[in-house]
Amino acid sequence: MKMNHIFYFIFLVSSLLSCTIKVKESLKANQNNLVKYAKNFSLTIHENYICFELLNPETKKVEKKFALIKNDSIKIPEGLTPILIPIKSVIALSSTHIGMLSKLDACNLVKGISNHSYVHEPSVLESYNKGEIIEMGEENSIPVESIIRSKAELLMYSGFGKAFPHQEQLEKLGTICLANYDWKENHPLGKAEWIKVFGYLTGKENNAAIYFKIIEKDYLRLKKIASKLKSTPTLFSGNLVGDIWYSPAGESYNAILFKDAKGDYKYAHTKGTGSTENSFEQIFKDNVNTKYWFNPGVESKKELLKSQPKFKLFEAYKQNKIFSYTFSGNEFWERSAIEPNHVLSDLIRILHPELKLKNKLYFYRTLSK
Amino acid sequence: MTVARNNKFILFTLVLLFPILCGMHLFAGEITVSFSDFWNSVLNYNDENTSQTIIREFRIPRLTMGILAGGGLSIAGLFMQTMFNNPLAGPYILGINSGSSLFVAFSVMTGIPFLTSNLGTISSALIGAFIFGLIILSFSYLVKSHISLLLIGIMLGSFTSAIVSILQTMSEPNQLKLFTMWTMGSLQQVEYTELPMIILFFIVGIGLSLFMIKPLNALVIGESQALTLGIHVKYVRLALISITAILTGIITAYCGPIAFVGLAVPNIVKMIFKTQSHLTLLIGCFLIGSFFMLTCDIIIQVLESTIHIPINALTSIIGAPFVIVIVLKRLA
Amino acid sequence: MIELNGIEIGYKKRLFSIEDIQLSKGKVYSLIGSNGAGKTTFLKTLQGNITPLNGQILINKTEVQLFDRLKLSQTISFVNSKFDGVDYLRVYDYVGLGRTPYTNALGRLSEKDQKIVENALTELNIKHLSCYFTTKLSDGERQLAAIARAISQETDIIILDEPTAFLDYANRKLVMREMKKIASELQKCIIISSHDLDLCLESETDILVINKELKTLQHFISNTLSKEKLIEIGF
Repeated sequence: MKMNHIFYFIFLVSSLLSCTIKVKESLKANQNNLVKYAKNFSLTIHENYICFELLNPETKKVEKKFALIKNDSIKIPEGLTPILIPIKSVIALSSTHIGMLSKLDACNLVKGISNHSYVHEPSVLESYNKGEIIEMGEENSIPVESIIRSKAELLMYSGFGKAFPHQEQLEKLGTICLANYDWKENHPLGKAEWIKVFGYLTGKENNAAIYFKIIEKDYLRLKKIASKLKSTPTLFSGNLVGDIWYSPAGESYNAILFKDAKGDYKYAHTKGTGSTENSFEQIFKDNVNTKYWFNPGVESKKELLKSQPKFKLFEAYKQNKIFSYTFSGNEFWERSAIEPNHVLSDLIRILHPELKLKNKLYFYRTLSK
Repeated sequence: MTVARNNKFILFTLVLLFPILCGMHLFAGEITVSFSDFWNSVLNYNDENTSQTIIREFRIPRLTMGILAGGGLSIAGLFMQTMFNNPLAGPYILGINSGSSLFVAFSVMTGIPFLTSNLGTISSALIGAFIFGLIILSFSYLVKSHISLLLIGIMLGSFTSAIVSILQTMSEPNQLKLFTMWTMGSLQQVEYTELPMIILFFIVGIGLSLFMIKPLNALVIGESQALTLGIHVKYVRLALISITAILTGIITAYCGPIAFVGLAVPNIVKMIFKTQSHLTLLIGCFLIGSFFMLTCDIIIQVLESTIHIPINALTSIIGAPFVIVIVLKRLA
Repeated sequence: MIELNGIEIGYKKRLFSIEDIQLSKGKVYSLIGSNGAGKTTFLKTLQGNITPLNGQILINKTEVQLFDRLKLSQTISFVNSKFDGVDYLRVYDYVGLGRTPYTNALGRLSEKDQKIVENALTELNIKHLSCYFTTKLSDGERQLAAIARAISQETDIIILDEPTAFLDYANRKLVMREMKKIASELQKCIIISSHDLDLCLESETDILVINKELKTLQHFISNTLSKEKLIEIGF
């Protein structure tokens, strides 16, 4: 399964199970909490260790607790899994992990990846070509031997609702498995905030905090600019899977970005953080005259028509207003999570040409012929 | 004879019901459209009018494909059942669909421009269906038992799906996406302007079928008996495989693999008409096959606001129990 | 009708030879021989499906090998030892299939065809079964229907491959009686292969026996052969 498909799949799964539980109250109790936007983890500073709590994305209950310690001899409470920091080696199975490590200049720690053809980061590719990085395959079918062979201290995986296979045995052998739920964060800044986890793990927590602050500031600045604009151009998003069209639901990551970019997203009112389903006819009726179409999942109009010839009836098709990030697929998946400000900037530039900003897009492009 | 008169009455009733069902299908969708929109969309089309566009570009092609897919696959199933003297035969179970799938997979994932064009997909689907028809035909000479042939068909299916999944791992994400889309099956891939060509293919296929009626009637009592009745069994089998390939290939190219229609409908038709006259069966299969498909699609459209069911999932859900009933009836 | 002159029967290997035998219209011939002697091969050779190793079979003075499929089906009809019936196939339609060599491209029965089918049904006294499904008949009735189908095919020659093998005594007698009646009334040449020596002798048909020692086919006119002699020659 290619990366795009995995994410598509995630949309599906999360649309089924989505629920929003307010947990801020419980977190506020702990003044030490270092997390502002992310909902799926917490970081708290204790006397001689840092507590990293992984929260279940659906129930928001604590799934696993880790104690990040700088020294083996430090005593920690029961029930916490110790991780000796800074870690010296890591298996990073998702593009976003590599993207975040790259921002911290920590890609030299990577010892294993899932598939080199999904990697953009040049330093990782270089190490892979030198044979210093092992390719492990898909997350749910990784041979245990190659994990052991990599001798990595930490394995970071996406954990599509499941524990990592052979997790306990691997931990006994010295590889701690850690799920990264950044993909379940709905707020763009929440996704980016996971860099703080990488910061503490690699001993570069200060860099991470500074980096996050910069991004946050930029994101909020762009949002403010957009909010003052008068025009709210209409837009829709997604593509057909079979006869069903999946659009991001109203409370999802994409919907938040569309809103922050001051776009009039057709399905902004829908409930849920996953996706919302419509028949093709319904999508056509709702969006035949919608101005912008985002994320069709293909790179050219030709491919678009090949997948469904009726797309040519859409106004967005006729006016060449279809925008996709798949031109820089690998790069997008690696960087978009940690650069939400750039994603937002792209959307604002596309939706609001009246701003007359210099036409520099980071990820998005108009569909080619 | 009274029997024949009875069947004529049933056929007549079905023909009368046909436009009603078509009408229901046309207007069943979530979005309400009016009758005048329908006439205008055909006779006086205004592409600015969304309702008219929905009818012309969405509903009419979908209706046509429903009729042709249901009717065509059922006729193909009838041919296979008579040819192999096996009530459980059908283009899907014998692996003829998988032939199309394999060749379409090849054509889509090679990325060669001609092959990835529409025409390329159609010709690959046709050729694939024909070749796999020939394969199953040659196996039918080697194995005597009905069940063995079905098992071989199912094995052909697994074999090709294995090859297809290997192809998938080697292909580019975009090509993979196109193929995955195709395998999901849909009656909505066809454009209004493509309909004349598809209908023409069907008229050819069904026109040729008329010449198969006599040999099919004779094949009912077995191949060796058909030979003594002066039937050129070898040529007839080739002709049947070719027609099946045309019907199955075209449908598979546009709608993706659709399961169980070809197996279940001919059996239902025989139960209703209680005859082996293939003229009656042929007309019956076309009508009841179309009815079956349109009904499935109406159900899908009615449920659309609550749940989205892919067409080949629904045909399987309804068709598979039928097959079990047939098997039980045989064994009892 | 059928001239068998200096012929060697066999498929790949030689089974037996025929010196000079003429089979004529209006008669029933019982073909007798031990298992493996070549009865089936002989019947297939008669139908033109297998070429004789030597010599030519002449039907109405023409080599059978030169017949095309249609001509063949208008000359020879064939009844299997067993017809299991087919779901939803009615007796009338089944017998009607005998008209296949004569009908148009769509296989529709003309009025004349229908008349012939009805006559065949009447001939065998199974007209009352016309509307029955072939699967619902008794074994005997089904065999009669198969014979009626052969009759409606209007061929000079009817070949029956062990037609009584699966029948009870009464039905065996009935089938043989009907065949004799048809042969004389409709002037057909009927060849029946059989294992049932008593039945063949009782029915007073001509006997064609494959001589086990000489490896030849011998022709005995009815009532000229005792059972003992027949066993001695054939088995």
